[in-house]
Order: sequence, then structure tokens, then C-alpha cells
Amino acid sequence: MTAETDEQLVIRAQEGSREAFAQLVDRWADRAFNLVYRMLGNVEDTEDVVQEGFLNAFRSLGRFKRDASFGTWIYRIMTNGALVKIRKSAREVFLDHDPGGNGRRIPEGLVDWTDTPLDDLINRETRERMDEAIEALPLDQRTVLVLRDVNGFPAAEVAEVLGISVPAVKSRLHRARVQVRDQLAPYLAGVPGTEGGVER
Amino acid sequence: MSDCDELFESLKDYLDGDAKEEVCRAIEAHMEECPSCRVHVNTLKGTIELYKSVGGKKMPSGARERLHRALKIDPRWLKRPDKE
Repeated sequence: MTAETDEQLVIRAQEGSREAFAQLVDRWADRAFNLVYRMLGNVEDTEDVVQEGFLNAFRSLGRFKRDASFGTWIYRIMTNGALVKIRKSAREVFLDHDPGGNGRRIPEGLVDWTDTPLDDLINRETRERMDEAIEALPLDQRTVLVLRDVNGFPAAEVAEVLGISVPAVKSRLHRARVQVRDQLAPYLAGVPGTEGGVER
Repeated sequence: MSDCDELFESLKDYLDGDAKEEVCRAIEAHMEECPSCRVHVNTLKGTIELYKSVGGKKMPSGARERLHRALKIDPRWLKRPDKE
């Protein structure tokens, strides 16, 4: 039997099916958790925001007009919930403007480790270093990178979720990618199997 | 593509697969000639591929159970034929 699409589940949920809404929650819970966790960096706060986000989605499901995908809608709810949490704790502010810059910088001594097979690069330490590099990004860049690269949303939908332009998404994303790459580069260059490749 | 500055201008679209075919060809031709741009582009592409492969933070099972309780979700609704 073919799985129902999100749209089909939303229609049934709007008609009153709790089971259809449960399927949507099940389908989106990990992605919502990942997004919010990347924004907050704390499991307890993330759980609160995700739970409240899905409760809000359930309460306002009747007003969802399906002009965006369910994923875009749920990410918007989760992003807003995370931003409220952040503002309450005043840890960071989300920049509404794009500070510019285009990653026009190649670090000295950058080693090309990309001939190393992915399987050799992926291990527990790489995951930890990756988490640290993503957490070190400014909030606006981190959110864009998690939506676009980690969760695979098209740039136009990321722009819609965050209420910014597509060029602003691309600009933030590029700066985020460069920063993560630069932070990981010294570690990846030293992973066994990385022979040094091309060095500037 | 004659210099590195032109490559940087087009790189965002190139990395996302949004660049026009002639721009892609020009970037690739430039990279053949310019080792430092080649390393720059390869390591950016590799980083993106790497964190896509590493994946994200999954919801802990306890948190999922609490979410189901908060939403009054009956776990039997989520049973799939292939898991039974």
C-alpha cells in the first residue's frame, strides 16, 4: 500500500482524523527536533518547544490553508517557537538584516581531504566536531544551514519559513558553509587516510 | 572564467546546482587551472556532503513518548504493516 502524502494526511486531519495528525507528527518529529535543537543547543528546551509547536499546529490546523507544504508550515511554527525561547533567555538575537560578505576567503594551508571516502571520515569524533562547528555559527546562519543543508529544504521554502529573501538565504548559507568548512578543515586534514591532497 | 573573483560570484548557485550550464563549465574550467579554487570548492562540497551524511539530532525515545502523551496520540495509530 502506498503511503499517504502529507497533503492527503493534512486533509484527513482537517476533517477531524486524530490518526492522520498523529501520522504527520510521527513523520516530522525528528526533523522538527533537529531544527530546534540546532537553534537552542539544549535537549530539554528543545523538547518543550517541539511539544508546544505540535500542540499549536494541532490547535490551528483548521486555519492552515495548504498554500505552503505542511513541512514549511511546521518548520515556521518550530522556528518561531525557538526564537521566542531564545529571546526570553536573551542569549542571541536573530538578525533581520544581511550583514553581507560572500565567503571570498580561502584559508592559508587549506588541505583537500575530499579524496578520502566518506565512510573513513564519518566517526563519532567527526560528528562531535560537526556539531560544535554548527553550534558555533551565528543563529541566523545556523538556522539557514540546518533548514537547507541538514533538512534539505529548497532555498525558496527556507526564505518563506524565515521571512527573508532567497538571496539572503543563499548569502547566509554560503557564509555558514565556509565557516563550518574552515572549522572542520584542520581536523579533517588529519584524519587517517587523508593524504594531504592539494595544499595551497 | 578568467579569475578567482568571478568564481566566487557564482559559487553559491554552483554549489546548490542552480548555476546555468555555461557558468558550471566556466567554473570547472577555472578549477582545472587554479589549485586554490579547486581546494576551496572541493572542500565546501565535501563539507556539505559530510554533514548531510552525518545526519541530524533525532528525538530521544522518551521525548517522543511524552510528545505522544501531550498530543493524546494512541501508539496503535502509528503501527505500519511492515513493522508488525
